[in-house]
Amino acid sequence: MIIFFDKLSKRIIGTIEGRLHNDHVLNNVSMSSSDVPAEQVDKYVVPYEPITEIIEEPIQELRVLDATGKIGTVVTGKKQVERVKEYEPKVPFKEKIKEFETGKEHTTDYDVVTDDDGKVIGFKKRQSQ
Amino acid sequence: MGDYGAKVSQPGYDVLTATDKQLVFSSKFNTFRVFMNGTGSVNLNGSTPQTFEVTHGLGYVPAFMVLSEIHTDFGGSAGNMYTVPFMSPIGGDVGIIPYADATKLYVRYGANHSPGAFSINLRYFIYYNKAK
Repeated sequence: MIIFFDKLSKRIIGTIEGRLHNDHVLNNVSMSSSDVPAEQVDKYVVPYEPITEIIEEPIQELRVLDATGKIGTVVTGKKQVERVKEYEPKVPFKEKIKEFETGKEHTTDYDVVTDDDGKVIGFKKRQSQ
Repeated sequence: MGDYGAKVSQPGYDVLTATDKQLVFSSKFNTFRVFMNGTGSVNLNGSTPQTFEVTHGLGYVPAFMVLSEIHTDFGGSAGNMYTVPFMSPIGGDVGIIPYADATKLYVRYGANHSPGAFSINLRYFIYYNKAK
């Protein structure tokens, strides 16, 4: 997910949904509106990290199966392998990001919270109008 | 030359013999392919038009779709989303007009779409398919 927000008011003005974006989207896409000009908009790209799990997989080998010389795969044992189970937002406020992704919460109801360097460190719900 | 592609059949149908109607997906179908999609929010002020812009940078005019809230003054229900463009038969600058060029997608809200300050939400889809 990529979040665009007003640097001054911290209001979220738009998003690009999805976890995987190509270089064109990351480097060229931007958002603005009449009340928030382009130079006043900042962009936050949500980082993700893989969550892995250990699973058991069969060890398969090619063997001659019979007197005719037919070749096939045979399971000769089992091995433990580490694989990526899923990806999660790599931020302390990952639960809120997941709520945005599932539609349980809407980004347009929130402002971003930034530190003194302008880095996004969380979200704050806006007062309803 | 061979005919190459990918297809997925519905449950219960052999993908090798399924008719087009029995497929969930086929690369030969001219479907919309999503380039990007997301949300937007615009602060209306009741006196000047406001335009939301997404720079897509595709270099051509893409097909797109926009869904937006409509102010309750014009029949919209709070929380509902509607396909736009929206024009009111009453007249005045109250419409919601989405349009695109080779660089950007725009969603213009008329100056009088809301009686005063009002935050309005939208959702957009931009496709790889060309509109022009």
